[in-house]
Amino acid sequence: MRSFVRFSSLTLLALALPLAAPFAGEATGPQLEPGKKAPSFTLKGTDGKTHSLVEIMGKKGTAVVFTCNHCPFARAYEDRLIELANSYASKGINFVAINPNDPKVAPDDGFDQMVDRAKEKSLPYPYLVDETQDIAKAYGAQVTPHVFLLDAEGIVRYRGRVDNSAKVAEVKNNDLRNALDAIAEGKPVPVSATTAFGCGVKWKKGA
Amino acid sequence: MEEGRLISKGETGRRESPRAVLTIFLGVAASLWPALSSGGSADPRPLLKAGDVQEIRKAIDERRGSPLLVNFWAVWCDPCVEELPDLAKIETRFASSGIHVLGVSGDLLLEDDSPAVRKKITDVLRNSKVTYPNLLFNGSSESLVDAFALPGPIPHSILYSAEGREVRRWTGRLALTELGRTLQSLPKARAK
Repeated sequence: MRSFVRFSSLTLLALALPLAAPFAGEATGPQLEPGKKAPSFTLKGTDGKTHSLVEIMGKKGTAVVFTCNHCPFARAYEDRLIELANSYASKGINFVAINPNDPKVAPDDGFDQMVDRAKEKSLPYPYLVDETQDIAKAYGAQVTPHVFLLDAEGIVRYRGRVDNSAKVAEVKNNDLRNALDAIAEGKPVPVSATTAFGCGVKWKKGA
Repeated sequence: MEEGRLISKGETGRRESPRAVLTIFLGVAASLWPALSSGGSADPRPLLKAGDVQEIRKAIDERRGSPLLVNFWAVWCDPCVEELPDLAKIETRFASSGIHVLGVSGDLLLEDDSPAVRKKITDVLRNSKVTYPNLLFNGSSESLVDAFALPGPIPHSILYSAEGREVRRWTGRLALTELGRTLQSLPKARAK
């Protein structure tokens, strides 16, 4: 009896796992992995102008950050991103923030609110809206904040979190900063992929 | 107090005669009565306890013998809070499976532990009619993500079998019908 129970639950597990897989990501596609060419984009910014990836790209690299207004996790990282953007601009790495959220699901993430936030925080990087959510899907953005760091050629060299803790005092692993340093110096990044934790991207209902 | 032990004895499924069950029931009722009538708090179970990854693992191990759904959530996560009323129904709706639910709140990832934070979390749980226990996770997001292979977004729920094996996961809102089907497909828990 004991061995039968063991066998049947193992079999069930083997059957259940592949079945579960297609549901696991929901609206989110696979993340753009290191080594892949980053998809280009042209999106409207809070300054009223459209911005494309090629115009934004820095001489050494570009940090594409999916983030938003409403998510407390994203807000916890806002000042860190501003500081990083200011520090690495002179080292040839530019930053761009993209809000992928559907404002019907997250009303604080509407374009007008983005404009207000950009002014309030004097964001040093373009803050763009991904109305169709196509760019978030192309990059496989899962959460806000979610970072994709590209090298000078637009190849993804790091994707994932900013660091290991939303509480500044408890930060031990500065994964993004380490990757930025490596890109700025033309060296391989020490850790190229981490799991970004935060608020799930607010996909359009029924999309 | 003995009530926890008495309740779990009743649940582990050894066949009891109706008379024995009634005796246990009356015993539990009698032992609960003073607590319910005197203290003013009508909650027999504390909703919140702070803990790290080891505490979560311990809580999962303690619930072996029945299927267990672990739900990772936070007050700052709107879709998490929206699904709490659904989660609150699980233990009664699927009572025949013996399922238990354990919540793991990620609120301390952003805020320090304080009576105000605990009140905020408890208020949300009570408003959603949640009576299952919740752990207030007090480690780093990194340790939580690594320990439970979390994909990043919450809500995230993991279903464990009575033997403690992971059976299924949901990222985003859990569908109760899917959970019901999955529970039906599980082998019945063995009597100890």
